[in-house]
Order: sequence, then structure tokens, then C-alpha cells
Amino acid sequence: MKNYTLHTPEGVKDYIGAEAYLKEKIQNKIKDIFHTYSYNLIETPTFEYLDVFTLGEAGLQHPDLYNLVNRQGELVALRSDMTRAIARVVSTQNSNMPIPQRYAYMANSFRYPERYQGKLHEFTQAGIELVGKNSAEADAEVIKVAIEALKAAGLSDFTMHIGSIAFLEYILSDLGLNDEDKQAVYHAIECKDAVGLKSILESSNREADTLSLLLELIQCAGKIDLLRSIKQKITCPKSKQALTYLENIYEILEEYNISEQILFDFSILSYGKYYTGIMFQAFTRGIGSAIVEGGRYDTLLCKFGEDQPAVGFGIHINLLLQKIMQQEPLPSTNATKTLIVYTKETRKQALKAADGFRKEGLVVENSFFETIEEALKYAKEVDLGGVLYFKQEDRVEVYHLKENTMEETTISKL
Amino acid sequence: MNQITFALAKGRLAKKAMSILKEIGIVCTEMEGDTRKLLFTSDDGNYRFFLSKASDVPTYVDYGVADIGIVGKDTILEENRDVYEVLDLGFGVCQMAVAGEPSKKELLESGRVLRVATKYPYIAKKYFEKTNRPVEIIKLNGSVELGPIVGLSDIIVDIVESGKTLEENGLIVLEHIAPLSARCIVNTASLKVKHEAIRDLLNKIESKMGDLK
Repeated sequence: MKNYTLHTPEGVKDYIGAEAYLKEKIQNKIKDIFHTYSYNLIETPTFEYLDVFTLGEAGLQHPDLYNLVNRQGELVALRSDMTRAIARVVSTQNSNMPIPQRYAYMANSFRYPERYQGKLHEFTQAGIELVGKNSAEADAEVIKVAIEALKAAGLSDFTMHIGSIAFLEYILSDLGLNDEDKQAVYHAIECKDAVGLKSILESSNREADTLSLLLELIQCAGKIDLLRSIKQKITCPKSKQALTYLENIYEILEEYNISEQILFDFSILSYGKYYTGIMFQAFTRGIGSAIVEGGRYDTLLCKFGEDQPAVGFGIHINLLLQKIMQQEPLPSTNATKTLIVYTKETRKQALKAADGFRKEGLVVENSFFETIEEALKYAKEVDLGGVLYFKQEDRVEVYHLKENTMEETTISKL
Repeated sequence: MNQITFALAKGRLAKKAMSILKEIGIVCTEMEGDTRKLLFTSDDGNYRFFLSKASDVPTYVDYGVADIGIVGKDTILEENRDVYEVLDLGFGVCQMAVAGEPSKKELLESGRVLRVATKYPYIAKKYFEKTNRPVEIIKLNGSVELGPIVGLSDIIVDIVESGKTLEENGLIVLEHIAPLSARCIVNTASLKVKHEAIRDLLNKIESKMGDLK
């Protein structure tokens, strides 16, 4: 029989030692950035009523959710999406608070992917939501915070791709596609099926000009010049307006001095159905999917009873961590630690000295070994920085393990 | 670092793909001989290739260890990975179909529970769900046509190319599920991060295919 005490279920992971330390460090740096832009930390329950996570979606079956029945027979689910939990808070406890509201979170969410794809079911996301403002300035602020958070976490080479779902919708209605074709288009987009999309568009019998423009858009991504050149080719005023809006965002991002990371992405295949205005994703080399996903979702809060526009993003901490570990080897967290070894007689002085070091911010580990030889052996094995041996009275031996040297000194000289 | 990595489905598909790439100037001499190597680099050093089992190609592309994959639409549908399907390469044309003895047509339309043998359980499940028919799916790993002949299943879901194998075993196509052919898939992030190189490559392949037509 399988010994279940020795295994973890599919989709979860332990973080140990240096990796756990690095993850915490990245998370703290990101949280600090959120804080400096005045986003307020929010913590919501790990599980809540299923309805919060399924509101607005058809049917009762949601195979991607970790749901369970509680003692009262109510259906609850592990948090699948922090945005929805925040939407609930905005529509209840905070419904009378002034607008705009800024929220920041660092939380684990739970979702079932397809089976055996080796993907995490429990994953950490850091994110913000800006509620109550629909403007280019709000969108630009959120994108700026995302970029600063990635930089603070130690990521240097990445690009931020901005697109507009509003633009896509206007273009499609401008084409005069019927509802059935529109559904087929959205389905193909969701499945990332450009081949299918192309065949739907080609069979819709539109005029050649519009069609070739749309097919060109599927494979477009580029800097601001691209946006401007597309804008010139487009005749539909609403679509033009959506592009002008993106231009406005870009101007603010220039003022924020982060425009070099920005790409406009009209590969309409990448749109999520969740969003209503802009959407953006950040990518980096070596990671196979987006490390940041965000956008404007002006209709979600309305479903919760509070008609407010909102924009936000989530950073995939697990992917970010993976990338940062690719950039440089994991730092040994032990190399800066010092082990103190003492005898019965020197214990009092040793503990006092150690506390003095800790107050200065050093990491000091107490040794429980009987002899200095055992302590040194252990210190070398776990790669500590040094050992202080309080030998006798005020005589201390200082071992520098990296240099493999030892010097004698006294407590007062330490 | 700026190399583009291809994952190719071993066999006919890989050979055909390499010959198209050769025509647009991407030559990989070390792949042409009889070799046991798994990873190859193009003569100009800009591209890497590896051969894998077809059903693993979408997996490699999903994780981004390969930027581009060349694989049949059947595998893409069955594996259901998060990848971009960008190009229909137009070769390896066949179809996914429901097949069985001609007498099974009636059973298929009756709404009674069907036993289906297939190498493609995911495609079969989705198809019968969509058409609202209850089925019991039996996963086989090869020679699926045996299923109905020896009485393991009522019908099969499989790739049909010429229909010859079916015919020789007394089976016919009962329903069409989807047209199939070789496709080019791209990793979500590669399409963004290596956008220009990949776009350029895809355009070249597409125009070459246009010439062939």
C-alpha cells in the first residue's frame, strides 16, 4: 500500500531553505512597492461560498474549482481568484467607502488544471486592484506598479504587452459578424487557434481590405509606431477611439519613464474574456507563459451589486521565482550565519555576546554540540560563515570557515 | 540565447517539415544521416531541433523548452495544451472520425450507451458530450480497428486517411469529427519574446506553402 504520509498530492509544492527565503524576499519587495503607491493590503478567507467564484458563469459545474461541502451542507470553494474576493469586499463592507479604493494582496489560490500537466494547483499571486476609476491615468498607474514590482523583485529583461479588448469588439462588430460567428471567433481566440480563426473570418465573406487588416492584426505586436500606423488604416471611429485611448496610456507611461518596456500587442489571440477595456501581460525569456496578467474589468463588480469600474493585475510569484533562480544561483542563506560554541563555564558570557550581535542584525545560531570538533564539522556541512568558540574565561577562538583560518581573541575585542 | 527551438513529431511529419524548412534556407545536415542523436543544430547555428513522440510535442511547447512544434491536429486536440496554433501546414491531411460496422449506424443514432475504443479518449469524450450521447470509452494504444472486430467495442474513434484499413476490416466511417493536418504550434511566451524572428519564419513557411499549392 502507498504510504501516504511520505507523499504530497498532485499540484502542491514545498519551499525549503534558500528557495523559501528567496520567495519571501521577492514577496516582501513587491509588497513594499504596492505600499509606496498607497495600495492597502487585504487578506480574505482561504475558502468562501462557491458563488463568489462562479458568479456570472453559467451552470453549476466548475471542475476547475477546489470545492467542498461544509458541515451545514453549504457549497464552499478554496479561493480561485483574489479579484472576486475583493469584488465581494468592495460590494459589502467597503461599499460606503470613498472612491477610488486601492487594494493589494499576496495570496495563494487554488485551481485544478487539466490532469497530468505538471502544473501547480496551489499558486501564489501578488496583485493590486484599483476600484472606482475608469481612465487612462488609472490604467497607466496599474501598469507602472506592475513594472516597478517586477523590477524590485530583481527581474531585468521583460516586456509588457498591452492590448485592448474594446478594440477587438469594435473591429468585430464593424465587420458585421453575426452572433454565431462572433461566438466562434471568441472560441477560437480562447483556444488560441489562429488556423480556426482564419478560416472563420475567411468564410464570413467580408470585403478583402477589412479581412486582410484583421488577419494582419492577428500577428501584430510592436512599439508605439505600430499602434499609430494601424490607427491610420482603420476607418471605424469607435475602433480608432480605442486606439487613441491606448495612445493616451502610452503618453502617461512615457511620463512615468517606463515606455521602453512597452509593446502593443494586437495579436488578438491573446485576449481573455474576463476583461472589458485594456489588458496586459508581461513576458520574459525562459518562462513559457505570462508572469503578469492584468486588465480592466468594468462589469465584474456590477454582478456583485456595486457598479464600479476596476483595473488590476496578478503576478505569478512561482513563475517569477523560477525565473530569478534561472538568472543566478540560489544564494546560500547560511554563509552569513555564525555559530556560537561555549562550555558550561562560558555560557553566560557567550549568550550575552550573541544577543549583542543579534541586535546589530547578525544571524547567530546556538550550538548544542558537546565539543568544538563536532560543532566545526556541522558548521562545514551546512556551510556556515563562521564559528565563535568561547573557550575559557574571556578567550575566544574565531573560525573563518570560508578562508579556513582561525584567530584567537578576547570577548572585549569582538 | 536567440536560437529558436523546434520540437518535431518523429517520422513522416518531421521529414516533411525539414524539407519545407530546407526550401526556405534552414538546413540541418546533421539530421539527414542515420543517427541516434536527439538534439540537432542547424548549419547556421540559429535553430535547434529535437524529435519526440508526437503526443509529447505540445507538452514541450507548452513549457517553452521548444518555441515551435510541428505536430498533427489530432495530437493538439487530444493533448489540449495551452499553446498557440498558428499555421495549417497543409500536409498529412486526414480526418478524425467515428467508424464501425455499417450495422452500427442505427445503434449510434439510438441514444443507447455505446462502447468506444480509441487512442484518443479526450477527443472521443468531448465529441460524444457535445452530441449528448452516453458512451463508455476504452483506451487502446494501437490497431484500434480490432475493437469492433473482436467484440471489445461497438465503434471506434480514430484517424482515417484513405479508409483502406477500415474497408479491409469491414468497417466504414459513420460520422466525421474533425478535419486534420499537420499544424505549427508556438509557445505563448515565445510568440511574444521572440516575436519578430518567429513571425518572419512563419511568414516564410506560409508563402512557401502558397507556392506549393
